[in-house]
Amino acid sequence: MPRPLPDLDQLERWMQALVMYTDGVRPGLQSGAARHILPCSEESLEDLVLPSKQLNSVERLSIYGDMYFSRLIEILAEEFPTVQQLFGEELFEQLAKDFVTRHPSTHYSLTKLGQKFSAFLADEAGDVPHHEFAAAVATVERAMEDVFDAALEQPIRFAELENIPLERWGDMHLRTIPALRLLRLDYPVNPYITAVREDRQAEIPAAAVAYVAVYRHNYRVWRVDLDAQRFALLTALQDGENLATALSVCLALPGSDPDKLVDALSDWFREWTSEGLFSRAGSKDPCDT
Amino acid sequence: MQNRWNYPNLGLGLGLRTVHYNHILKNWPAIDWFEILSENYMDTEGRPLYVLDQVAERYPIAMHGVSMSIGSTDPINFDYLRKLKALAKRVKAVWLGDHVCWTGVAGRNGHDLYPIPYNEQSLAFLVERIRVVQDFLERPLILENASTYLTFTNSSIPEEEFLRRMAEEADCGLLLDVNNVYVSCRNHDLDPWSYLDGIPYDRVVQIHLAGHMDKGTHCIDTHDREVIDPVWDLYAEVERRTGGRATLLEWDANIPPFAEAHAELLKAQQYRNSSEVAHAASAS
Repeated sequence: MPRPLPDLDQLERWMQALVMYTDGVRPGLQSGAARHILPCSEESLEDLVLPSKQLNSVERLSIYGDMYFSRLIEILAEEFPTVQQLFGEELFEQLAKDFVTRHPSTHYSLTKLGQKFSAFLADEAGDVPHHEFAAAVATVERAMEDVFDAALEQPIRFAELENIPLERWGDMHLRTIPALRLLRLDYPVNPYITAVREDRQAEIPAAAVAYVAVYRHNYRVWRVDLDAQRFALLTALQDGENLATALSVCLALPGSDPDKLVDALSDWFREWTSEGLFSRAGSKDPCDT
Repeated sequence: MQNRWNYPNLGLGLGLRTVHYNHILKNWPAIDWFEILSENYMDTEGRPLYVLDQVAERYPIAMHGVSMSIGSTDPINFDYLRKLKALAKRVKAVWLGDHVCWTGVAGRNGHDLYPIPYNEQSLAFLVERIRVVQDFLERPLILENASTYLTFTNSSIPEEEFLRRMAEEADCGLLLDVNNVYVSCRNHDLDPWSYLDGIPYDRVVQIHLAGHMDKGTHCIDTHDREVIDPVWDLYAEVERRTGGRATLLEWDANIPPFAEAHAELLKAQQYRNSSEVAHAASAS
């Protein structure tokens, strides 16, 4: 008796299960994922997919399977070039394939594909040497992707801050631009990333807490190392705290010197406004408006 | 022959690609129009959109997407359509479209143009989806014949007839990719010239040209090299049958400098001229 014709939904789910099967279409035909939708062996595959004069049905389906993994691995390699260099092409390819299998894309945009790659390296690649360092590198490279596309807000200039009366500074809220990511990392990865991207030799550094700001300014993406105080201050402001509260967070850090902090503040804000890190200053929490 | 909506013949255009941004912004090259990959500009307020805004002030823009997944049995993604519509308004897109395909199902996305079976069930399903999307976008969709590498056994309608019925029943337009005609026909042991006989040319709004990789046993639509002569011949025939349509060269991998891609595009002029001359002669 001929097989009843599958409906469109069955056919799409079945083909997708095969295309996304890690080991390829032929083993995929035996997998529960595909057989659960449409029980079909290699021998009976022609009931669903016709051969051509040159290729059999498995080979024709495999064109899609091969392209699926090669394309997504290529996208991840473009987004995480330093991670790829760290692992080498072969290991990176295997990791990327594992990642795509465990975390298949659910968004129409390929720019979202790598969102969980850092967490994958940290939590699901424990048998790979240097996976924690690689996760920290991936966090920064992912942040670069995020800020590249982040929403645009016009930055304010330092002169606008200078016009604010001194007595109002404590209540002041400074809204950071959407294209700013403040990262606390377990490795000082920034110099390593710079070296790799400049094609220089780089040693994997020892673990140590490091702070990095990744931001977009004039449509270019920048990475800057921060010290603990600057990171704490910017993070508090980004979280919507007023300047007085943000400074108190800063001063609570071990070894903080209030006098030195006050001396440094003007230069910090000059630098940050010149880099366009703030888009609004006001007495109300800008996150509420 | 006019297309059904009197969309203009924009002339010869190229895909707007990142590697050409600096050249375009510096030189504002003499090119008739640009096509954008819609998804590259829908979720960004960074440099791509900054560049696009400037390009759109100077050139006509057509939008061509790869993620509408019009053939998927998943629910229509209205968030996607909202962004698409907003972008079309922003750049004053002359038209917008996608492919006759699905890209994922069950909430997953394979980021590829997967084939659908050409049968009555798919046709009815697709026509209804296209109508809904067109109602939302408030404009016709211009849908492209995708390159395909397999044929489902339950396909019962030739692809060109499926496209014709789909376009007529959903009242949508077609983007005829002549390279895809060649690639698909090679892969399915079909005659591309017979394929052209089944196309409703009054619904063809735009033509695509591209290069592909010939693997001997099959062809892959790679967009990474020059157009081959048999594809130029098909193009000349389509130009003859339509009387001339907006034509775009796709080059998406191993992208050469702008001048080189532009030179490849301008080869189309000789086929357009000869076909227009032939067309005029046959009309007189």
